[in-house]
Amino acid sequence: MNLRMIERLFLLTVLAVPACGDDGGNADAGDDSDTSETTPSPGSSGTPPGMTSGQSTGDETPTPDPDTTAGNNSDDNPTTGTPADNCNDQMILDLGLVDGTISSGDATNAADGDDWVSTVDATAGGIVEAPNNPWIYLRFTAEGLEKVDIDDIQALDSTDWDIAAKRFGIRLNGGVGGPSTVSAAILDGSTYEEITALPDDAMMASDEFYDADCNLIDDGTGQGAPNYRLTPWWTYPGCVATTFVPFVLELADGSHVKLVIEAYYQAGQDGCNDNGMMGMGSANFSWRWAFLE
Amino acid sequence: MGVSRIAGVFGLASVVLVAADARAEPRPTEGGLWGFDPADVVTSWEEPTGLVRVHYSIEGPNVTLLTDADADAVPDFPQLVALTTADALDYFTLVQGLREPVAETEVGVELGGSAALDVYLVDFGGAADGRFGVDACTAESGYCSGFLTIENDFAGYGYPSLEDAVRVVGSHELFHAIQAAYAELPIWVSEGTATWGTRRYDDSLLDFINACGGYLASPGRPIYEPPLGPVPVFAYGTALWWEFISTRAGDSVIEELLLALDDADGAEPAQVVMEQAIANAGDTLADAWPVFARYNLAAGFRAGAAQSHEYAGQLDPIDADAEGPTLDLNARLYPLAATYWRIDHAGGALVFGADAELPDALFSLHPVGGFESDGAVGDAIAEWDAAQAGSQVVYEPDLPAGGYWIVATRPVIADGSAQGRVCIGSADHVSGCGIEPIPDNGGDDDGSSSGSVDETGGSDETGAQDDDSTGGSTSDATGNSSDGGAIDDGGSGCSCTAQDDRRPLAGLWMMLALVLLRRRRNEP
Repeated sequence: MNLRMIERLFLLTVLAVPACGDDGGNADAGDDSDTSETTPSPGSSGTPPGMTSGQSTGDETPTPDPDTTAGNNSDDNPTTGTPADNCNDQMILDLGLVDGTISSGDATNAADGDDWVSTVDATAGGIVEAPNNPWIYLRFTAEGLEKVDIDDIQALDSTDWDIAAKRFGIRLNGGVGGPSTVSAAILDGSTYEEITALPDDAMMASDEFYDADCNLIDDGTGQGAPNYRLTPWWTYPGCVATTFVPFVLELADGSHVKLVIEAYYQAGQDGCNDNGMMGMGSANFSWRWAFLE
Repeated sequence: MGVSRIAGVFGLASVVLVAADARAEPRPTEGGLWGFDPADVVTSWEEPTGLVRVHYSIEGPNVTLLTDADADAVPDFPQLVALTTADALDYFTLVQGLREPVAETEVGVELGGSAALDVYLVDFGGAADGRFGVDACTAESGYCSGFLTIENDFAGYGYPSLEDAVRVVGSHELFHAIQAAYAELPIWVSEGTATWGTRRYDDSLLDFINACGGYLASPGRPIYEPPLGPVPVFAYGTALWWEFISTRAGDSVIEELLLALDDADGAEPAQVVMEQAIANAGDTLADAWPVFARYNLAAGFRAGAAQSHEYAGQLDPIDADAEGPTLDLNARLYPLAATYWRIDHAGGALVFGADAELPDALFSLHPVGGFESDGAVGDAIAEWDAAQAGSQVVYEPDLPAGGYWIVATRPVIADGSAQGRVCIGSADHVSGCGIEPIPDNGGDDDGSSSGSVDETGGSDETGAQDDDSTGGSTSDATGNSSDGGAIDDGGSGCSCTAQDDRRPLAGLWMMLALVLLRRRRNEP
């Protein structure tokens, strides 16, 4: 009974303003304050529902599970077996996809040895405004992580991007997440540094956060957020802490990228990770990544 | 304050639905998410009617405001909270006719020292300003009893006054306690109607107006599908709909809704139950929704010329989903949503084309005052549907150059969106989109219709065909049906009828009509 009622409390928690206030309580809509926006612990880095994956052969296209791949049958693409429209109709609503607006965020790159350290502005106008602002779309290149200037609706039909971010959500261009074939393995038994090649037992899977009827598969954290393949990058000890779980992504051309999310906050990530103290500048990611040979 | 602990509360709240007679969560005097500190010295005061008891700290981390201006040995602020909550309870139960909150005894508990509804004043530290917590629920009905927790001093919260803060938060959380006496509600109903309740309790409070922006920022999504994520401002903003429909159909529609949700017991989606409740109140969702969408267009700086909400000028204006001298877009129209397009029309006949059938979609055309690009909008001068793919003249023979808004709605409950390429502009523009005119149907009702809305009160008796599909009307825009200006199909595929639901002439529309009339008189 009280489940939904309490969410008002949650709203106020994350806003840190009186939502019912006569001061225009929601006027802090653009405030990108470092209040929390996630519920705890996305869970283990286990296999997400709907995943059918297996050992990658390097250039293998991930095989959607025919029993669980989401999609409207009428939109199925007979050439690939993947729904052409997937659950786009529902995804537009659930992910807050915006037509006609390109993210104002950007990505920057700095070389660090063999790695790139990329900053990604996924603030999307702040917590309150995020449902009405677009994702930032990105692709991995030899010159660093590049922003792809497309809007959310264009992205539904684009294979130009590999990965996208909005607030704490990171989605891949594959499965129900997009029309490409990007997939990822979660290597939570390894450190980023230890990964020099795609492990033989890596389980590649694309985003599959809808069931066959386009019902959202959530991440189990209590907010109904989609169970993105890369969800295990974070946990919630009172702030958005980074788990340093490394991933290996398989891009559409068969190349592999190792990736670890080092920071969600512009400042104060260590304090969050160590002591549960809220950082500053949420959704300003720091990603460390490198192509694997 | 960790959100993880909030999630823990979520879990408890869910469990309580199946674990009747078990305590769902501790009272603030027992700890919990927002509870008193062991160092707090907590006392209580019950207002004279015995309906509400307030618990507050007189010393410690959660100490409340201790001013006692009337020197009655009880701080004024806790008294204000108790008296206001009791007053709101009277209003909701006696005036609105809603149920009382479920008594503790009904769920087998006796907490807080009396049978009164307990209100606790704790320091939320800016993270919240109030909440309704559940003690337990009945096994059979699922009705839940609980308590209110309210900010202990509202320091730094920005309310205009303590009185306003208490009236807003107290009535909102109390409304949740009342909802708990009916059914489990989806958030768009629970928060929307709670915000509505505060509005009804005291319409001088700005809480409702502030909340409406959360809906008006995203009118293109179904009202029953708020965005995912931690900040459901959309859900609060649905108060705009509840205020609209209760103004139109009577406040009893909210009670009807709660009763129907209770009866449905989760077997039907809340939006389906809502549709029935509106029908029970003597209205229909199909009629009300397009009007709601149009009212929302005539808001903010666009208010004043068309029929709209009484408070329309205080609301945030909606944003155009597309705009330009002509439009060529891929429309995705969700049910119980509204999409808004603005066109800077060069003048002449206005043509609408869709390359696919858009089931249940209903469109209306609204002129901008003074033929400016944007500004105060008038009432609808034309309505049409897209039950057939193809193009149709939505207003002819001519429209003055200027700004016009098109409101697109689907006043139905349906799965998924209606999608298609839509082009709006001149006949040449729409033809350039590759959309051919809807074949002339000779006046048969094929489900597609368009035509100008007679706002003048004159009726078109010049060959109107019966078209009950949309209520579209085609009377002469000038109000003069005898000058040969009455609508004919003209091969455009329009099947036109007079509209029964005629509205008063808006000033802005009068201006348009005069221009059209002037032009017609100047025609050779």
